[in-house]
Amino acid sequence: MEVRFVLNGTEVKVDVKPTAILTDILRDKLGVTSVKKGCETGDCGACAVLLDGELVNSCLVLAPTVAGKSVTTVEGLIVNGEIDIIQKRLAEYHGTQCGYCTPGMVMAIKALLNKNPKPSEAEIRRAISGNLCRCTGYQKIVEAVQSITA
Amino acid sequence: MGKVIGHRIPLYDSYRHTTGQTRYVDDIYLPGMLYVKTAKIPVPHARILNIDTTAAERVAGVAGVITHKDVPNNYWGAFVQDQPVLPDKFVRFLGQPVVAVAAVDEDTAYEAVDKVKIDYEELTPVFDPEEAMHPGAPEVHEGGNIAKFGGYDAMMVRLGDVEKGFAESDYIIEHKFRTAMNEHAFLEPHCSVAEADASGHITIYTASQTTSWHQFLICGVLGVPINTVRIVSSPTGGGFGGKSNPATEFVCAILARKTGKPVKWRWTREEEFLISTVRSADIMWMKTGFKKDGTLVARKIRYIQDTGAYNDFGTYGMMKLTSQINGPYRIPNVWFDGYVVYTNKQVTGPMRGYSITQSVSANETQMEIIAEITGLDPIEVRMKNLLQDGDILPTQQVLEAVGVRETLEAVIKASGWYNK
Amino acid sequence: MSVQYYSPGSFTEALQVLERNSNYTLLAGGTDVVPRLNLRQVKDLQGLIYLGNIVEMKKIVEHNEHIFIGALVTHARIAASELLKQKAYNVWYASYHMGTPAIRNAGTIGGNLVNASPAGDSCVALLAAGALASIKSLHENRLVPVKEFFVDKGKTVLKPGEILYGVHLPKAATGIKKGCSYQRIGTLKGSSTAIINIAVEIEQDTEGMCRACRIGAGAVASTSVRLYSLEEIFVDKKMSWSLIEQAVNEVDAYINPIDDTYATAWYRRKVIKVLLKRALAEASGLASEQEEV
Repeated sequence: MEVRFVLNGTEVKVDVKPTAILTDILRDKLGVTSVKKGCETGDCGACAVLLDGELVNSCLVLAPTVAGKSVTTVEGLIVNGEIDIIQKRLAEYHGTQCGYCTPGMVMAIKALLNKNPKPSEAEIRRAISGNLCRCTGYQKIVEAVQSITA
Repeated sequence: MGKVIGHRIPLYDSYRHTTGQTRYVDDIYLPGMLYVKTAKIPVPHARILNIDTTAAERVAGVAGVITHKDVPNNYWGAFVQDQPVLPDKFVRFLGQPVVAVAAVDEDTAYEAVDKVKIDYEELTPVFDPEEAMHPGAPEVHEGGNIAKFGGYDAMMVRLGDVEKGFAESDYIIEHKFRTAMNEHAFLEPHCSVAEADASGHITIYTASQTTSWHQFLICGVLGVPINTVRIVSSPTGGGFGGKSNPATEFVCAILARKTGKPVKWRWTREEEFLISTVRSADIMWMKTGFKKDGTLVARKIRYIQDTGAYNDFGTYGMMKLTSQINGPYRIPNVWFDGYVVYTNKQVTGPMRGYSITQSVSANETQMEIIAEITGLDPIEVRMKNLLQDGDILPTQQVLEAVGVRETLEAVIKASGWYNK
Repeated sequence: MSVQYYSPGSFTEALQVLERNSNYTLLAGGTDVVPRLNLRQVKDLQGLIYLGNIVEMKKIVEHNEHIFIGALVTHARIAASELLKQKAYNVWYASYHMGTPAIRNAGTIGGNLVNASPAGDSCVALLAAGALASIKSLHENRLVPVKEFFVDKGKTVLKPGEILYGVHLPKAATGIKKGCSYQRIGTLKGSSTAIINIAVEIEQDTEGMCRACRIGAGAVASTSVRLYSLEEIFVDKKMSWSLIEQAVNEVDAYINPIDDTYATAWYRRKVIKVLLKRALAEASGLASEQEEV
């Protein structure tokens, strides 16, 4: 079946099976490989994207349900060649190690700051609680976010 | 120097990570690429009677199906070549892949896998290494469950006279410790992509922690010269030791040669938990003699390392462990017997301080108990027994440039230990 | 055969599609259905009916006697609701602490109920709230107490053609003080399934007499359950530490904890005593009087 949605500001059209997950559509059909497959059960957050502005695990979103909606990935945060402050500070504050959780982590932080521009440390930690970083770099990630909101 | 020290220097790859531009192995898409899934049986220990792949091969979109018959040199291993790429006679742990299918997409590969027919005779499994050591226990491998060290059952280390040491001790304590199995759980599941060119030369993209070792093993399995296999070591989405052993590479290479197309195999998280290597669950019996003033005199250890279904790095892990069995402490009389035991579980391997982490838990627990018995400060007991330059380890290495005392002193100071 | 997909725009249309295709799977937030699809645990999936576009099932409405929560209200919306935090604390707490931000944004209260996990977080809260499930089909509307909603693990009283429309949370009568407590333990703060979850609501009159007590517990049977025998200990009595001790001592006899990858039944038996004590103490207002809890 055909599904149309807006990906990072541009309308796209894809032919999907009803049971295809958004992660696979983004990666396999639209070339958005920043969206990672870590578990496919909604536990790790490596596939997290914004769906109509809300953070979701794209592995739990069936592709046809995205029809008419808007999807944002880390690629969509780059405007006129300028990377987002979250992307900049995570890099500067060593908030990345192996990098596999990073795109999902960036989107979780984006979702947080969109709604709450001055989060407390506890609110930052709660906002990234669904994004597992096995390199255990959480402290640096929190510091990077605090550097933005301070 | 002024531009480096005291400044935040972003890692060379960090902007690529935050913008999603880092290309991990799973992000490689090649024209005509095939996807792998494997057929398994639902029991941990079985004799394979027959494998029938005819129905699977007929599924539209399937490009290649392989069994042990397609593997030139099926058995591999670092010390003992006991592990099959695809088993021919026995399945020895739950989820062990028996047949691999390459198809145009994952759904088709799964469909074909469901059509593979494996006849098997279920055998009694053994999971506990101590049970596996008993005479009459189910045999994981023919010839017994205890891996050999040059013809001996145990890796043996002797220093001084341990019985004399116990006789000279004021106290003797004795404990049995067990640790649990650990999965590395890196975020990026195992994945590799292999392609073969017209001359049969193979390129493999993989997130390996041991690139050359992989190349060496793959050439051995394929029976080809080392110049015909190129390994492209790709960004690794976490390893922690768990990407030291070959996982998806053999199967991808063989299927790429057989089909002439690029082949990708990415494990699911379920497969990561079931069939990837783990840190071994070890059993440590430890008897330690010491003086009233906390000085260590003698230690006897019987160490059992559960290597899982195959040896792989197991023997090496035990050898590595022996040099550090007493941690950073000097003990003049040591008697150590270490066993590497097969069980019907996934293979164990390196993980963050290979083999050593487990023994540290036993060692340091006893140090705490010694502090309690002697009434000394736990730090004092440790300070009294620290290794220093010129000491000789039970494994005969002479130590130099030992920095443990300075390190511990710095920790005492930084933590404010004596002010607590 | 390929899987059929419907995305009805209204509740009535959804009932009509389901009436024709009672073997289709209803899809709401997807946090339970999609992992099963991804893990290939679903055999012979015929069709999917996606409910996400039905606006009327996404409402939270306060009525005189009860509060209505539509089945499609997400946990994130419940967690953000000041009304529910004030008047349905346990339901709020369950959603606030459930899963992760992304799970709360997708997962719905109706989904949690229909999934009927023995450890469902909203399930125990709704049991303790004395909630009613509003169930509708083209032929019949019925209200079923949540305590009668679960049949077995993954099984509910929903019949073919029926959809869970929402839940009704009764308000306390005038002159009655309602105390709530929700206690849970899991392996991680974020994400993890509860090892034990308990919700308690105690209604006390102005004299401090317990007029009603409802205890919902998860992971101690094949479904979330009410612990009626323990509730009876308190009814028409003045809440006291000795009654709480009695309930804690008796709880073993009324539970049959599950044994799974999250925890052993042995551990669950240990930990429920601690959580039950905390929950009863908090809900009765005794917790502040004594620090040992």
